[in-house]
Amino acid sequence: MNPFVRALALLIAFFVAAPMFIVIPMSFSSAASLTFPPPGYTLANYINFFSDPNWTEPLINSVIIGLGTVLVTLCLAIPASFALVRHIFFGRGLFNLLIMLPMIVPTIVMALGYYMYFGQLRLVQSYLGVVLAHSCIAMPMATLILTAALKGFDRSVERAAMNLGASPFTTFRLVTFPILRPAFTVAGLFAFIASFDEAVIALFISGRDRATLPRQMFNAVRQEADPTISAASSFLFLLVLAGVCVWLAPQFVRRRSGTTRQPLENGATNTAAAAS
Amino acid sequence: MNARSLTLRNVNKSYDGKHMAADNVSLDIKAGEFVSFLGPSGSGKTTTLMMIAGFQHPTSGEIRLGERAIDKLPPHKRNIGMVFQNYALFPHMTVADNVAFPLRMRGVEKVEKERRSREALAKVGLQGFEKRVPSELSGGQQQRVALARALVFEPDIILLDEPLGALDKALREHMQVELKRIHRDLGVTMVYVTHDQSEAMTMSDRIAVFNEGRIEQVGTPNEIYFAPKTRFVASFIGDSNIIAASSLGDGRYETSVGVVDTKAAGSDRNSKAELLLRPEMIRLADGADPSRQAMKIDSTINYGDNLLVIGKLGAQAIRMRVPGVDARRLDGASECHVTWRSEDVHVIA
Amino acid sequence: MKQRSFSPIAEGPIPLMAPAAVFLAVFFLVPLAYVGWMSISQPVVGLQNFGRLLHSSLFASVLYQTFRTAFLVTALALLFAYPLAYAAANGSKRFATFLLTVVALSFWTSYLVRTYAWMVILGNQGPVTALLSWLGFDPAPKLLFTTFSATLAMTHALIPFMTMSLYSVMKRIDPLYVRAAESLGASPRRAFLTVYLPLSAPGIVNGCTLVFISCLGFYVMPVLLGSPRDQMIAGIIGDQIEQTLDFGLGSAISIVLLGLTLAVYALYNRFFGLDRLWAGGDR
Repeated sequence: MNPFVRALALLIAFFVAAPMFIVIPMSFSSAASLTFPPPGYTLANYINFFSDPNWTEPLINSVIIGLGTVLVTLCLAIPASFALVRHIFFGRGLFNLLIMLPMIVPTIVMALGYYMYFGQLRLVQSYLGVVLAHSCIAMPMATLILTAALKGFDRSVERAAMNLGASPFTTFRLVTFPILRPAFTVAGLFAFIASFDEAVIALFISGRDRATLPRQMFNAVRQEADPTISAASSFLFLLVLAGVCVWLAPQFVRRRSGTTRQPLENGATNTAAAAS
Repeated sequence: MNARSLTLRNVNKSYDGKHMAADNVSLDIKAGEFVSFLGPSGSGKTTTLMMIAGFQHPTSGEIRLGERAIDKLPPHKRNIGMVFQNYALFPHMTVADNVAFPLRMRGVEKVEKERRSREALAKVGLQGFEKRVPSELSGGQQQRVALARALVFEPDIILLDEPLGALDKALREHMQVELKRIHRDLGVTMVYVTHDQSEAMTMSDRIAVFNEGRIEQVGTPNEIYFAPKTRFVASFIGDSNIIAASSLGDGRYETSVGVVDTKAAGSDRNSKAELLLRPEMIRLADGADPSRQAMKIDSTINYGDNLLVIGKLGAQAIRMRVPGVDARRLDGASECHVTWRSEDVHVIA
Repeated sequence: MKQRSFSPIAEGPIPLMAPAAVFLAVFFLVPLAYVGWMSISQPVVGLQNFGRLLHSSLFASVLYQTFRTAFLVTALALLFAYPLAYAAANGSKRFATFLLTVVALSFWTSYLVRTYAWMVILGNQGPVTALLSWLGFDPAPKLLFTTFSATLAMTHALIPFMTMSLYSVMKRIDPLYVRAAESLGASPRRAFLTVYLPLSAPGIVNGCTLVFISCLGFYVMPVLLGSPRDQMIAGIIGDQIEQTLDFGLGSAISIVLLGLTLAVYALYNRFFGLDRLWAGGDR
């Protein structure tokens, strides 16, 4: 490949990655303002982030709401994806569109809708309201992941299980579910992150008592008063960094160890080997 | 193993009411028999197999295993062994767990379960493979695990859906021998679906030839090969010359290659028939043979052990196979003399 | 082989799809419909909210600002993402992994973390201002809370989306096509322009559509980093909720935004079919 293109790509990659790394040194800054480079270094921001209820409560709220969203989303999206992939029924296209709609409608519009509607239902400023809203937001992506996994699923293993004596439910429990579990996990992870990072809807309907971390961060940025935002940002960024490294690690391990188990091609030789 | 017989009685299958995937299929398979379902794709052989296994419902008709009617039973209650085309091994279980699965479903307790699994794996030559995972196995090994899994619970009958299709030639031939050996040792009834006629011919006690949803003929390999009942069967199995004929009575027929004698029973004069003459049954005639005919040679294909001669007898296109040892007699020839025995001519009804 | 449908939990699709369908209907469609209703019923039933918008020069300038920014961001994102995606799709495995890791890192970083980062970088006491001062700009120009900062931040945030759309299509372009073109006499530049670029077009269209639509409804970054005088449409909806509390007007503006968004999707669907957008060139 053209070395110029390579250099360009590297440059752009640097531009893409670099800005975010700045939050790390900033989180150790002793200054209250956004001075860079930091005048001095301290752990105060982190201590504050993990002890000040203004920050610990939103963090906990975000985790609780995130887990709630995962639960609701998976309970809805898993059966829905089975319906979409394994059944042909009247209105399937419409149903698919319905599930994708939350990805199409701008979040601010939904935020307004929830503010007014949940306001009527007294669901604002509660965990439940945010969980319900976030579940809608997470549904499209979770469904996409699940349907992709289901489409690639070889159903002959299910038929084999039934042929060998497993009832339909046992088949799901012992064969279908274990094989699909990675996809369920990924869908759940996406749902959690979608909820955890969601700022706009949470901003308007989570209320002060049930504020989420993004809401707290939004206000902190807007008011420019609290330097703890630096620790919060750094914390979140480091989580992402850790996640990406964890995802990358298996690939490095594989490369180091060199060989992967090669299936033996000559069955006849193997019989001899196995029989001896 | 308690082998059972399998009976199909007027089984029909249609998805849309018009096109018949299976058309009035009736078949009696004896206990312990090895029967192949042979036919091109879309001929209904796999559909019929799926109906026996319970993954498709017949539109009408009856399926009996031994004395039991099974067509209303769900697949997991039929106690039928099955080997799928792509093996369908459970990827998240070890080989041992795969093979033990049907025993687990039947509540067999642990020690007994492990013993029988080990035995089943030994029968297919994979002892010691218990801890492996399917992704670590070659195609042939996966094939054998699938077989072990189907055998371990001693089913009444085993269905095999083109199990050797994904294997290379050498491995396929080896596995064919293995399957026959297992069939002989266990005496279990086997139903084998394939589109490969040589496979069906070498392995089966009887062959059911499928075409467009119907069974055109059921018979031993010899019956199918030497006495096909329809034109389709004649041309699907092996190489063939099919000659249009009109009866002259007493087993003699008027054809475009002249008058042909057969050993068939007489039929009404002037009734139409088709005669089958296999290429290997035509041989080079020596000069003195009174029955010899002149054959014009258009082209030849050298297979080493035989020479395929493509040409004409009069206006009739004819294929002849000459054994390799005689092939040199035709070097560069554009014409030759051929003959055949009247008992080798088969009248297709 | 198509079998009769088999569901381990229930026969038939209705019990499987009902929960999601009902849930979305109640907790998604209803709030949406409520917005529509409010737009034509607050303070009184009628279209006066839309009338106000039609005649508002402020709203016109907001719309203009939104579209202008969206086009700009889309174009810039494409410009940055294309070489990145190209290098990832055609480079060595190690290089590609590196680039995709960077993209993944950016993709998963939340908007708020980015916003904070830009506030530091572009702020008065940040490195960019320091650099500009050192280069002789005195006083250093204000970078934050301008259209520039909002555009920059949005572009930076949306490059991963564009990259992934492009990459998924580029990955499927067989390098033999370009080689064939070169063997037929095309210079590398011409081979790229006449063969590779057109083949990557579906990715370009997908990416631009996704990025453009994201820009239309973008809230966090324009509000926190943009100029209060040149707001985008999502920002003024937020104002209605927080400040003026004019829900009728806010709903009307929302409906306009929704309409514009749907129009872009409809346009895409007309030419390409919506499934392709989410399948990512996966046809």
